[in-house]
Amino acid sequence: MNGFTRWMEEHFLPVAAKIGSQRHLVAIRDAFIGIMPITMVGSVAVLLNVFFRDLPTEWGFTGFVEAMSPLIGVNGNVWFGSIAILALSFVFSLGYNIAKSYNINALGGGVVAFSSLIVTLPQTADFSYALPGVSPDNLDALTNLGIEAQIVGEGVNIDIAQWGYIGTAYTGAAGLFTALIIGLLSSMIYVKLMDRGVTIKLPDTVPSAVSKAFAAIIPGIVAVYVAAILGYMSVSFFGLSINDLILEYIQRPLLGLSQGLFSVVLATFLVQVFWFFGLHGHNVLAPIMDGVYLPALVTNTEAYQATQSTADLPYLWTRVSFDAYAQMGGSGITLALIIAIFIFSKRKDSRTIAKLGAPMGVFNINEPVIFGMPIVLNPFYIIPWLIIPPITATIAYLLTAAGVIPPTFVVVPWVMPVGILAYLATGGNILAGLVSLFNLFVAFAIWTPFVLLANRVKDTEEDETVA
Amino acid sequence: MINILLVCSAGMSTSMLVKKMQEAAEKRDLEAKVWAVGDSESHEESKKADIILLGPQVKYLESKMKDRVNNEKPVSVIDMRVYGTMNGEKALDNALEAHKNFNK
Repeated sequence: MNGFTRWMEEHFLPVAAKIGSQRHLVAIRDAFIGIMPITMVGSVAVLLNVFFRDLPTEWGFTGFVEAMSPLIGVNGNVWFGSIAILALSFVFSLGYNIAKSYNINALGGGVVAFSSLIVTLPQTADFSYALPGVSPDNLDALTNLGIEAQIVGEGVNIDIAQWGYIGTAYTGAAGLFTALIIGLLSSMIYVKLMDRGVTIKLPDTVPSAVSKAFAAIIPGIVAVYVAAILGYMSVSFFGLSINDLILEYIQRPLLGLSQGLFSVVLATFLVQVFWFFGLHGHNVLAPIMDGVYLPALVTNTEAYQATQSTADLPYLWTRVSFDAYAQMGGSGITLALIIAIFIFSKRKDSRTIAKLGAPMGVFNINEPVIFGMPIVLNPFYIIPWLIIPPITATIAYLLTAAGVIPPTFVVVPWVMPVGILAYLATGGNILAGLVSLFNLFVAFAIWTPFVLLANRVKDTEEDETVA
Repeated sequence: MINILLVCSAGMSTSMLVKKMQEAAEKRDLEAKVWAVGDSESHEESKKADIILLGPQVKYLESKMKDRVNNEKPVSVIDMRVYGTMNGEKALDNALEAHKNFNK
């Protein structure tokens, strides 16, 4: 065990540390944290409509739904300005954080990244208008008049393309990877040129806001032009906008890859491994957790918004599923450990930590338990620590796959207590809340033998603990 | 007056240790300012600190942080058990000692 720990500390930890402090990955993580208010407000809107519209409709309270219709409308607008444009908020946040991490005018970084994404977006919208009362026989007459019409079913449609639109198909969850790639590229060009001093310099007497804006001109032009040229080339060579290209060949396959049981188990397991070495597992893995499972979550949110039903949500497992089913009380489901200690432990040190950790544990904060017990580098607790979250995640995954509980589709802050989190994340599904509580019980059953075992080694470890 | 900066990941549990350390300092009539920030804000904040403490979950930032302050200020990782038990007295002791040793 000691040899293994030492080996891991020498070979695994430096890699983990590098990932955990890698500038671009940290910026991506902070960019996701930065748009939290926007993701939250959109989720609140979706959730309110679940309770004002969808559940009452299901129960037959149509009068209530009608009375609530103004509020339901407001929620729809809130949705439009939050989840539907998430990629736009994200790209700004990313550009801002990248520039900030290089200690360069952060606002400029955000603005440049934002503009760079917009220049790659398709700008025309195609409308198909069914001409009322025109039969297919009139098609020739219309063509002679120079109107491009075509037969659709029993009627005649004219297609109109209009310029000047930004579509929510590109600004929501489906655009997140494009925002990530274009945002990184453009803000890095901006940052590097600023760093090299490829800027317009004004005399010191000019107010700093003005000179900062002028300094950003050349780097900003280069960054936006590179994005625009890439976008143009994508359309001319592949016939697809860069957004469609990235969505089809990068985002969808990656998200698909994340949906297997093996990927879910591996992700939960790795979080535990990092924490075992005292590293914040979720932070180290944030680029994967947020970069892949958050788009899955938001895609589900959009799908729910479109269909108002959980029947056809595209993704089984999302970012919030981890919190709902495999992190109750914090990584390792330490809330169950705290309960087991309260019931079974005779060790004074453990009980002290449990008492200290309980109030925070309810809100899924568990550093006191991880570092106080300690769990970190403690071979005694390594088995339950590593196996519990993968097991509980598997339970929830299989129940979701079997259709017993719906997939999660609402962003819920991770500090929500056990049960409530899963209930809200699934849009008010009581069964999901119960599954979460059942998982807590499973974790409790696995923790308990180790707590009992710890009672027996009390005497030998007592001295060490005091020292 | 001593300025003690705690750097951690999300700032959720560290804020409790900050409170405990502040209380410990008041008990000793020691003029101290203790505050906590996340990794990304630490760049600016580290300039105002006399000593920088890292939470055990971000101990991998130690060398980066030392570079950042050009080794002009003490940077140390809070002992895991001290952190876990939220022992403000001990954390303050360790911080003051690290500060003293550094300035020797």
